[in-house]
Amino acid sequence: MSENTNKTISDAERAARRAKYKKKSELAVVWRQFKKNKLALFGLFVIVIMVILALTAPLFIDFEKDVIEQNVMNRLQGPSSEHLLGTDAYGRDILCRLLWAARVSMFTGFTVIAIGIVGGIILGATAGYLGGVVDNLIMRFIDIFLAIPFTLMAISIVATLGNSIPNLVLALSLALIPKFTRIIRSSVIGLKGQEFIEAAKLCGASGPVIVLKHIIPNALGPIIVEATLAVARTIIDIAGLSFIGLGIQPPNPEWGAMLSDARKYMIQYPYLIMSPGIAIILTAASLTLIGDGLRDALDPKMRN
Amino acid sequence: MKKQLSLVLAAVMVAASLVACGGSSQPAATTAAAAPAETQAAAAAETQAAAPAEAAPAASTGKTDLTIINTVEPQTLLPGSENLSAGHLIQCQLYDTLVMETPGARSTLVPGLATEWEYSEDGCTITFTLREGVKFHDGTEMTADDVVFSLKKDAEGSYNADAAKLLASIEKVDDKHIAVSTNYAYKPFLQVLAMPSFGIYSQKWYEECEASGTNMARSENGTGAYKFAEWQSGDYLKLEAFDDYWGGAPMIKNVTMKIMTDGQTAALSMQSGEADVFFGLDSADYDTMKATPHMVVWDVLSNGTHFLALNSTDGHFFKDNKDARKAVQHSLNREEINLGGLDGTGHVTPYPVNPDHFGYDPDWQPTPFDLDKAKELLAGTGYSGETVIYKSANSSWYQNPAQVMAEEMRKAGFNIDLQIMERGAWEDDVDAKGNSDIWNYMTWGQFPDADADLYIYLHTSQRGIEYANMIDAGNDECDAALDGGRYSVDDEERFNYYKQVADINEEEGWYAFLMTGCNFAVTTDEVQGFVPHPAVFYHIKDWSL
Amino acid sequence: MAKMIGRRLLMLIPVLLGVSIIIYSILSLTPGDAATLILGDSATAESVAKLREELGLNGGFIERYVRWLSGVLRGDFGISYKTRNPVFMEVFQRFPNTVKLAFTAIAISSIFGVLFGILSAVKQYSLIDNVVVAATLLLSSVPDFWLGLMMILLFAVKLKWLPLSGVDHWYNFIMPGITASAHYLANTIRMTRTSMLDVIRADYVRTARAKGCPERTVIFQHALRNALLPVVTLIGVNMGWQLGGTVITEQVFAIPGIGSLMITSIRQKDVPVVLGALVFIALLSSLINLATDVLYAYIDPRIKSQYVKK
Repeated sequence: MSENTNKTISDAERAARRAKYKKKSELAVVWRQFKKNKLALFGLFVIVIMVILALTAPLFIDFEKDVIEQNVMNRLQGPSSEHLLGTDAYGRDILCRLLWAARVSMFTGFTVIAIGIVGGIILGATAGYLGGVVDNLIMRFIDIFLAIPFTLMAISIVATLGNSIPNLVLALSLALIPKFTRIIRSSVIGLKGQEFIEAAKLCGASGPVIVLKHIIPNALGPIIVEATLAVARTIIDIAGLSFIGLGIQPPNPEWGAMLSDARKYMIQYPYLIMSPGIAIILTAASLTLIGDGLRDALDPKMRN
Repeated sequence: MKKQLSLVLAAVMVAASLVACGGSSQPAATTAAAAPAETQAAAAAETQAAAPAEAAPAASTGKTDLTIINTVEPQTLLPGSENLSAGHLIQCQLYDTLVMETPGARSTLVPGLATEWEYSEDGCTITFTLREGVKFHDGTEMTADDVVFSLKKDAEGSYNADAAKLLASIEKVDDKHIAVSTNYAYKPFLQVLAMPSFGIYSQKWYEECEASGTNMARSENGTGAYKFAEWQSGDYLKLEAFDDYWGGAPMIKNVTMKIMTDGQTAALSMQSGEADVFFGLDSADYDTMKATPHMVVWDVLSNGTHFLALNSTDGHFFKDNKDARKAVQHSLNREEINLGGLDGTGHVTPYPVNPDHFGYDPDWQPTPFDLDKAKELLAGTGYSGETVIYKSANSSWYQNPAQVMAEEMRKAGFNIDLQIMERGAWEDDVDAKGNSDIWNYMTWGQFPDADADLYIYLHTSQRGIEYANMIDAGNDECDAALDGGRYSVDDEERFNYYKQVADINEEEGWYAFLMTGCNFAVTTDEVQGFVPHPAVFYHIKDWSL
Repeated sequence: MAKMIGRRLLMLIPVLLGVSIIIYSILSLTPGDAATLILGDSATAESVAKLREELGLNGGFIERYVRWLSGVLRGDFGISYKTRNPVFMEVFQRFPNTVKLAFTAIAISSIFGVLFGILSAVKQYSLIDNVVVAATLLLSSVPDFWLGLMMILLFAVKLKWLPLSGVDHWYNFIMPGITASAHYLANTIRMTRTSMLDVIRADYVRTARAKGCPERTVIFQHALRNALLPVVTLIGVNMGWQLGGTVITEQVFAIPGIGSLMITSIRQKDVPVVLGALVFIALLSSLINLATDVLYAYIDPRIKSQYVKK
């Protein structure tokens, strides 16, 4: 939710500095740097496992039978060999729901970020590249959204339009677009004056081409870092919205919704609140570690 | 045990309503103690013996400050306009009514601001003798004019809209007497006047407020045992004892109602000893609260019965599809719905009338749960997997049972699309407009009678009226039974009419009545004199610490 | 500089207008009606119509907005549909609680954030650093309501050290303050640490070290001041966000603040209250952001020169 304008400026500077390096070996350099960070590697490992599990879940879990079919008489059972993580208030297997929820959470998280980035690129690049009146108009529009606290904005949208994944995605990405617009805009402004951009202009490249081929790739570093952190935030934010009753539609599982359902039983059945809680914390922490690792790896200063 | 308790509780209510109807002469014979009442009388004795064991009273602490936690904030102090039980609770303290319910036996009415009442020959007019020397909170004395004025104003209030349709006139007879007439002899009418929404206040105060533009939602001048002190929106509401109360000054002097909208936080706050009484316990917290030392959890059956409505209006799935409705009936396992939806804290009550209300039949049996039969019936309708839309409101009270029922119907072969909506949007879209094939809700009979529970949902005259019969339920036979119940003053006859209604509804499958949840009340073991009330009409003046 | 401030203040007008239009549209064009919500099930069509008339809900979409706006221009924010109290009063009754909560949270996140941030940067790769980094990671990954509930369970229910609810004493705000500050605290620690590390590696600090300045002097005289520049901005931005972002904390600890007012009002479709509270919060957070920028410009001459150039 919070952001920091200064960091983006320095990110832009870094990106600009980096642009002077040879681009081809960039990825290899970043990876080599990233590899040195054991924690970040661990984070990456966790996320890769999660993504694989999420993608392959339908192979070993039947949505109808394992995820949503209730067996109320068998509710609130502790962990056993049959149900490794126990069952919830409707007698459904928590492990299956947890794994399936990874799909929902990750899908929602990544969709939100994708929309946020695309929206941010379109608005931020336009504003930054064209400058003047357009810049002013876009930025004031962005200011409107920034002036509405995110949680309240999300509540207004979800509470009035209804609980559903699309509405959640809408609410959360509306909160992200302004953030990415700002980051990209400042990157673009930082890069606009660079020699290689001037050179491209002289070669007769059009505005959109310059932005897409030359500026965006050079600004990707800070964007990716921010995006990784924002996925983590989004997953936590969805949990928060679920807490105030604005999550996704049951019987679909989602970590935040599972957590907020489980909290009702937390004193008597603490295992219920453990698993979705750990899933959220683990994912968010891993993404943060990756984000940090990437930031360090992308920072030329860290390379000596 | 719970089931037994529900039967017993129901029995007490029915028995009470049959035996004691008003304090004076009645046109109809009250000899209608039919078969159900007799068996229940014995059961009633049983509860009375069992009740004190629930909370062994501790020695008095001598404290005079009481803190209540409520998860709902009242809307207004003005009688007649409030539809939330949190508000009724406050109004019970601020205002008196002409007649009052007896704690523990709702239908036994005792004198309030009226000391006596008498029915006319035709049963349409009741003449009340007013209590003398009753003072309003500003010190002025209550007059017959005040009573007539406030009853008239109350009747204009939105909450009393149904009762107002009954009323023919409210008149002052002399300085000591007023007469209230109804359009026809309506058996439960006196019960209506015992609701806090028919509270009495000062005419002068009302007119002054109107003239000066004072917010009447936030001020009062009643005759109740407590005066309004302060209300911080979203935070707390404070009352203080009225020392000139006609019934004697109450023992508890200061009452604070804390508003905590999050049920879980509220429950934890109660557990950590921050209050004496707590309304709004979530069923999920029931066991934990019960296990907490010094906490007494009262299983108060709510006055609303959960039901499932199957929409037969144009364009909806169940139109002309009785077999599909029957299939739904067979797919419902009420024990399971109670367990998953209300954490097993409710009572399975398949009868349309609330167990707390007149007309309840504890022995009646619904269509049995039979999944194979449900599948067979559904297959017979030529169903080929069309989506059946089921919209439910997002409070756990509705949403949790909905999740279980949606799954049960899915097992029977229905392709259910369950949509949980924000409460406000749901009320607008479903409750008022009927835009769903299925939904679940609760009956909300304002006063403890079958007529209040059922008429609006099942009478054909109520079709298409917002919040009423939105599913095209009802037929001539059902109308006849409902009208019979409404216009009869004979208890046995009325009881049988409502049994007919229940049978017709079950045969047609319009609504499936499911269970009754609990409006739990939690008190510390220091609170004495607390008697559970389904509609939260508590009188704090009767309590002590 | 004054010109810049003036321009930014002027810019607030379209921003606030935009905020109100967006929220008004969301609330008005979706299902749910204040009158029916207030009256509940027992309402009849006549009583709903009567209440709609009383509340002024009958006009068209634009007509109602214009009526609201013209009221605001005269300083009248309208009357709450639900409580019938002036919106101004509703907002200001609850505002102090939110401010107290936000400032406690800001204080916690700023003080401890900067402290631990510096500590862990100065002792990079030490045990302390590792613990701080790990704690930061955990703080930023925990859903805040979960943190709040865990604290309630431990400190209010089990140990009974702190009261769960209430807003009358300073200690009422300890747990809510920590809950609301968790993510900001994590951010501030990270920010301070990174920025401190950046500065420590910077040339002028190296020079200072090379000249033989004692480590203390290097850290406090040279490094800290520069390292804290971005932290100041972060705190400013956080403050703006905190004012509107305490919704969940208010919900967990039953604090009657602006956030809980907004939630109930949104659910009740109490449009005047939502609009009033939101415009108020937007105005406040914009002003705080402006103040932060100004402050920042004064601390960092480079930024100041940027504005002057324009």
